[in-house]
Amino acid sequence: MGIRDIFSTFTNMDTEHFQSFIDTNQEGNFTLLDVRQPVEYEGARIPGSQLIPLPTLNERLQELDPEKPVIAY
Amino acid sequence: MLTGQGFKQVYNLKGGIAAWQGQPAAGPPEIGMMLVKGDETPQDIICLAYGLEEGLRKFYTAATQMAIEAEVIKVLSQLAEIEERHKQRLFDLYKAIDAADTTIESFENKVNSELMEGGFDPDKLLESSKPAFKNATDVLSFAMMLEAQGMDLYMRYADKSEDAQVKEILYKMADEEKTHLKSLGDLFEKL
Repeated sequence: MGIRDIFSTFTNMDTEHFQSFIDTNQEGNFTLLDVRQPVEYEGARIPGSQLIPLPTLNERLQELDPEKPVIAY
Repeated sequence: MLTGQGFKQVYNLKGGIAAWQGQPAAGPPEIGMMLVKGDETPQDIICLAYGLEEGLRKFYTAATQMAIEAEVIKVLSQLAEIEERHKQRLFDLYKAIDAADTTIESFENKVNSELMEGGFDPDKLLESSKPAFKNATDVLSFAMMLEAQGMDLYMRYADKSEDAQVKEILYKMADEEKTHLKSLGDLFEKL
């Protein structure tokens, strides 16, 4: 199962749009979601990302605010 | 999955982390987290942030003593000044939310600055980073790493904190770190 299967309805965000989104939105108003494995998160992550590995996402959805935009990688 | 659970806007970052062109953060999610329990008051969290910023200011100031190139010294001094301004904003915020007539002296007595932004020990960090500070580019790269770690730490604190006002303060701090990172990036481009 890949990220495409999990986010059944999603919009792709490219680098340019992402940078602009980060620059113009205040921290706390959106969620940067790192769905990779902990070892990958520890190696390098986008600052401010929240780690919820893909295999555990379903059981940890309550940790996320559905009202905020979520950008997953 | 997320959209089916009521999440209103869900984006997939095309290219994953490779799409991020800024400074990454690194280390386990627990790094620096021994400083917070989650039940801190807004005053507690401001004191903590002030200590972290002061630790970093001390680090940049001490590093100017070791640097040889005038350009490197200038950059380090600018970074120390930025942290000083950051501290002042935190003290202003403290006074705005604390009913007591607080002086800077009584406020600083509550602050612990042994650890700095990113949860590092300033003395150990200074010692280990000495060989890396050969030119202004090295110094800026290092500062960007510290600021990225600091921003990441503030966001993890926010995630752990239970108080809405504390979360807001921490988001604001993270936002300021983001601005620092952008300024440092601009400075880097000019070198």
